Amino acid sequence: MATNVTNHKCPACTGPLHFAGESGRLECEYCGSTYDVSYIEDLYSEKEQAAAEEFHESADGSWKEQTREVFGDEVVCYSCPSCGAELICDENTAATQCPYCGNPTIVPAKLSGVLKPDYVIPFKLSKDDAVAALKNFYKKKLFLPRAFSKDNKIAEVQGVYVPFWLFSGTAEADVTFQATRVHTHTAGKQRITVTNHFRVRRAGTVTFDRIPVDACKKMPDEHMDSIEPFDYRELKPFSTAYLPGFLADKFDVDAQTCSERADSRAIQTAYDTMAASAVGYTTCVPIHKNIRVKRGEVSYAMLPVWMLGTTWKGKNYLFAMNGQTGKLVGSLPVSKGKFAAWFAGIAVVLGVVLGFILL
Amino acid sequence: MKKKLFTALLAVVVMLTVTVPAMAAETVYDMAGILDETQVTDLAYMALQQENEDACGIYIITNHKTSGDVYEYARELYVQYDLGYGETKDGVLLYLSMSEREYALLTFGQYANSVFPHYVLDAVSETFLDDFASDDWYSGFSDYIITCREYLVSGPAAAPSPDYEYNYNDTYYDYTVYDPGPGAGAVAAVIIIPLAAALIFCLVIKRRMNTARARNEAGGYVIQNGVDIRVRQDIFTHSTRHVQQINSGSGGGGGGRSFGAGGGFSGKSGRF
Repeated sequence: MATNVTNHKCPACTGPLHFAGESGRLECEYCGSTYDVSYIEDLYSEKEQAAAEEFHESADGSWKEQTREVFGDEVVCYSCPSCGAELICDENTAATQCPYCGNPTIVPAKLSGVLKPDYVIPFKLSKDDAVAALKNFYKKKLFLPRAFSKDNKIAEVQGVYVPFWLFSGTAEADVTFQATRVHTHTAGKQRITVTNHFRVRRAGTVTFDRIPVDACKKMPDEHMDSIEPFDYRELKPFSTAYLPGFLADKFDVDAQTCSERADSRAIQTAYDTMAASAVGYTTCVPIHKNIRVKRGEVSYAMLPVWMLGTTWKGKNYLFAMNGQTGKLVGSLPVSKGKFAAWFAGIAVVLGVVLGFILL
Repeated sequence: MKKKLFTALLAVVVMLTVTVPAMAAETVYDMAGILDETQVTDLAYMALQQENEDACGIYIITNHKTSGDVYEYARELYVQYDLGYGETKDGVLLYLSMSEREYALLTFGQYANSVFPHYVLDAVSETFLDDFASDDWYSGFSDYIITCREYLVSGPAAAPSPDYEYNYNDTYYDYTVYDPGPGAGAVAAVIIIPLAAALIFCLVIKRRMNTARARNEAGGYVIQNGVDIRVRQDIFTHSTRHVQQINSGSGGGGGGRSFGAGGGFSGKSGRF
């Protein structure tokens, strides 16, 4: 059994430490002591280094003994340094919590060396904030079944540091449009439409800074895209001291694969920028497009996301909230009855009003 | 026997004296008061005979003064007085505005328009203009009704002769559409617009139930002053013109019920 994990414990009482977004410090649940991130970072740096080295050594010698297959998935087993319980995680887990003693557990080897993230944005919003945001999300949703918002319980709320690749670069665009300006005037009994045709060319560059692409297969891309943007002014150099109390996974989609999505977004924005600069035309249709992305710095960051899940009528509903800004996204069930009632109501009222006006 | 015959004749006379003035009010509207009661009755009787025979009403309206365009005003009166024969409201109207000494001669409906094209209206107007010039109103109106009856009896007019020319002193109007009531378009609008609006509203609200969508742009990550457009070329290449004939007449307006090709108003106006 591998023991190459670390717990962040309170130096005063050895109770589990959690990073609190409100204070930006690590707090002890038991004695209430609080600590600077840098203090805990210094305190645990040696332990983490040792754990990482032990992990790699054991991986060389006895890796097969640490991995198992459960329900067809390969899992990794660790031993909780606090209570000795067996922690079963997937191979990408970098931070978790012991289900027996509740101690936050870090797997330093997943976050060190070449796997070490460059940056982290610490959680600013708490679990309560996430639950409140979800309740608020339910409001003013006309088609939401009453039973869903009234009786349904949130099954799972989990703070996760999601691995993201951040791509900087410059898109070089050269776009040619066929554009028209249309003027219409009336002369006698004739309506004359004059269309002036133009060949419009725009070429230039658009420079991007850190387009985020989530590097975790488990996270749905739609949710991760929709909770953007993150405020990069709060990016901090990565430290495992921000992780206690939250889950974290290392990336399982490499930068090369993720770059395709970042490039696609950059190309679209470069095109939109060129098209937006062709003003004063009635129509503007691209006839030639040459856009390529010159990639710059690629960095690896852990970004804070609250994942909330619930089940209703046998279907899972997943919500994601930006742990920094509080932006929450997700999909809600639609009540067919309410849909039909609103449709019929609007159609009838509008029909009566128009009937009075037109008939 | 003689007594019975006398009673029957008396009944006919009484019926005519009661009904003809009532009917006169439906075909002759002498608001300018240029005709006496007998003349109104005679003209109405002549006009009514035609309406019954040929499914096209013949109407006369006089007025002291007209505000605005005489043709437009006559068109409004046609609608306002609910003139026209049968469901298609076919009819021909001669309107006189006494203070301006202007007239409008207009037709409405597919059948009336086919019988009275512009060159026929020119021919009709020639029969009464000389009488009106000498203020002989009754003769002018009589000629108008008789001429209209002749054209109605002969049916839809043939094409005008090649040497026909419009009278430059008059103004001609073509097939302006008017709407005495709701048409199929309005009924369709009352059904389709609410359904479409309700559907759009519901789909927009439904779309808002799912706020998680993949992004295909990165506009929020463009750095400050990160857009540098070095080439801006706007070169004019050529020009095209499209000419569309406007079908509605210069009388304009209206909108709503259409009687298909040849329906709506047609006519002319001028001075006497």
